Amino acid sequence: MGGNECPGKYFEDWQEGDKYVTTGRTITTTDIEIYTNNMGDYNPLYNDEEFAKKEVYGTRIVPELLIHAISAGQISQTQLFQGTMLGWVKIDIDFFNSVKPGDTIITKGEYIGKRETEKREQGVLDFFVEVMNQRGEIIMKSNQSITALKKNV
Amino acid sequence: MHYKIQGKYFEEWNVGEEFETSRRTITEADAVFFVGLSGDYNPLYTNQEFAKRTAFGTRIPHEFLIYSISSGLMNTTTYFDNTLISQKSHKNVEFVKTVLYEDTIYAKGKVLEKNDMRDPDFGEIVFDVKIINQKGEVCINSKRNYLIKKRKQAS
Repeated sequence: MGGNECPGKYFEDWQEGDKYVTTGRTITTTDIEIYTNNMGDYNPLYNDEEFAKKEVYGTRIVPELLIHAISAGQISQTQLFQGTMLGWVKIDIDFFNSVKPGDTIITKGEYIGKRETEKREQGVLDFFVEVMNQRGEIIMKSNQSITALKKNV
Repeated sequence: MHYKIQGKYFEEWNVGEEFETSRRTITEADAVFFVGLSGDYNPLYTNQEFAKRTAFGTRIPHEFLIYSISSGLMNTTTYFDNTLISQKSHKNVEFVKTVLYEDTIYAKGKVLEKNDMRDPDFGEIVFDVKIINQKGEVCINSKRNYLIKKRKQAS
């Protein structure tokens, strides 16, 4: 077996006050198109510029669940969870402002706490996550729980 | 001939009303696409040698892929056509059972609450939506707060 799995932080490594901030990602109409075409998550607010122009946002907007998916990608790219995150347990998401094509989002996360589970080799980690755009406006807030591998079992 | 809106307006939903979507089989192609689009390269989804050591013993499709597909499946009912303004909140989203490659899923929804919002243009509806696999097992629970157009706003 070759390769280095470059593991991220283990269950024990997260301490009160730990935070992270991701790099930005500019979201484009291409992202909207390939997401809606592959997920079937169509909505004229996402797909029909003529319709969207006349609606409250004034233009096509980025699907809410695409913002969420891209934020998950940004979190993954911090490499803090690589090889140590074993799955999603629970999330709560609220959306506050729309994202328009050409906007750039960043994700900020804060470690909240940890819990044991019945499996000795893993536990649950809780995070509070915010997504904001280039103007500092809050796009999304989320409480997230994941299972994480323990280093010392 | 002009496009005829098929979606249900806020007034047309009743608390307790239920619906089911059509079904979709989750493929490796879907999973690889989603990893690429999201940028979430977690080895659970991308590295078979790593994934062999986890509970499932194999790569799994991204949980959020399943969730986004369920949003697409809800469109197949036509109930949200042109009337869904915003997916404001997704709460208590619990990943209770993993969906694996080649599983077939559908969504089952129920209206829990209607909130007028005192806005002439839209109201809020809270849906309980469960994602269920081909064995009838609930894989994901969720409560979705959608802003739905009111009929009097429609032109």
